[in-house]
Amino acid sequence: MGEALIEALLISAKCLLGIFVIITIIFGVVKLLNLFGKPRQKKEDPDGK
Amino acid sequence: MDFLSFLWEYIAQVTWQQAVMWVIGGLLIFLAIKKEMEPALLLPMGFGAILVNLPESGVLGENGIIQWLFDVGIEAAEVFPLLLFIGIGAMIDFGPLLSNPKLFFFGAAAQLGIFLTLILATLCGFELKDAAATAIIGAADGPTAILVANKLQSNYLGAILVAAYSYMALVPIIQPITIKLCTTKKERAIKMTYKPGSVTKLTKILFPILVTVIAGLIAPASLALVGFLMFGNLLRECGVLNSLSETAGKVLSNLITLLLGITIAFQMQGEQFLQWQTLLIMALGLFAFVFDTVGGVFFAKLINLFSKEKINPMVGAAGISAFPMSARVVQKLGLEADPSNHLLMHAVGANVSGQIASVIAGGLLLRFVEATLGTIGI
Repeated sequence: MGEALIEALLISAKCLLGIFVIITIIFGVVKLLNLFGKPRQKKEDPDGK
Repeated sequence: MDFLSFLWEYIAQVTWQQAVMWVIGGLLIFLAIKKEMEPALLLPMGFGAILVNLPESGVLGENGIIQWLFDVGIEAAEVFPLLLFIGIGAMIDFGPLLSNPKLFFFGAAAQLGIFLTLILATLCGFELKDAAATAIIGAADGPTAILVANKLQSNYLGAILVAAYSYMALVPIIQPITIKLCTTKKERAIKMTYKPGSVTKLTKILFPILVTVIAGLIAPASLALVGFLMFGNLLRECGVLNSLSETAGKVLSNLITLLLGITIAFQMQGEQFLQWQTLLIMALGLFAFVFDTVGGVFFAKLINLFSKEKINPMVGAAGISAFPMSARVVQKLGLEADPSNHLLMHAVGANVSGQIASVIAGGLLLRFVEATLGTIGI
């Protein structure tokens, strides 16, 4: 039982860490995409057309 | 009278387990029709439970249709749950999440129940593969639960799926009670301003591709789940496959759902379903859902300790994958605490992040459990 419990604890800890690492990377990527993907402001047409 | 014996030949073969399964099947059909609890799944499962529990059932065995559907649709390569993911991906709009990426973390935090349940199930004496398969009920996501429990060859697939789908239907009851126990009315009344950032089409197209690559490089076992979910989403966002996207979101999803419930019933044969462990799995499933919610709420409270802009802790609870029930629960509770407190868009963002986090959790759980059991190397 003791060994099984330690295995379960280790797996849980690794999974939680793994999720947060992957989510953090996705978060960073989305932040970058949002940063570089901002739609450019259209320049005013001097002729007003 | 002897020539009439064929009339009760099979009736005499009915076992008490089969009779109990008819009652359970009837109960699932009742819940589906009368209470409208996940009817698309519970009704076929209920009917299937009756179908596979008739003596000498013609749907089982080498040429039995339900056995064939199970072997081909689930056992062989988890075809049904994966195809369903394409449909789910095609239905999800990640816009609210992409415009407020902070919400990604709530999806991760609200998977806590899975891992606490893994520990508790191990303490209850389940083998590691069955403990992990039971824990995945906390993913609040039927296809993920099917895939993980089947890949781990759990002996309790039927019970796990009944629990997973029943609790998803019970989210509007489970979550409000849990949230109210973990928050004060003042916290529930915290208002959050919604600033919809403009998300470009390019971002929406790149997002599913990049998530697939990232998840695949770090947790390859999650690739089937994440990949099919994101493929469905790419169909939706690309803008040139509207017909395919619509077919995936409606026709494909309906078709697979139709077959999935009755196929799962293969695992509801009386002798294997009626064990005391089934009751334990139902209890552990409830524990998983409750602690998913607790994880999300307390993570939001933790963020509030360091953040100037306060987050309503209930938004954390929407990080579970049960979409869109969880978001609706949060919106309703927010309005209850303050009639002008609209949290829906934040909750939807957290809710769809839960969809991503739950499939990643499923993949990671598979990877580490299989590695521990020696099925694969880390």
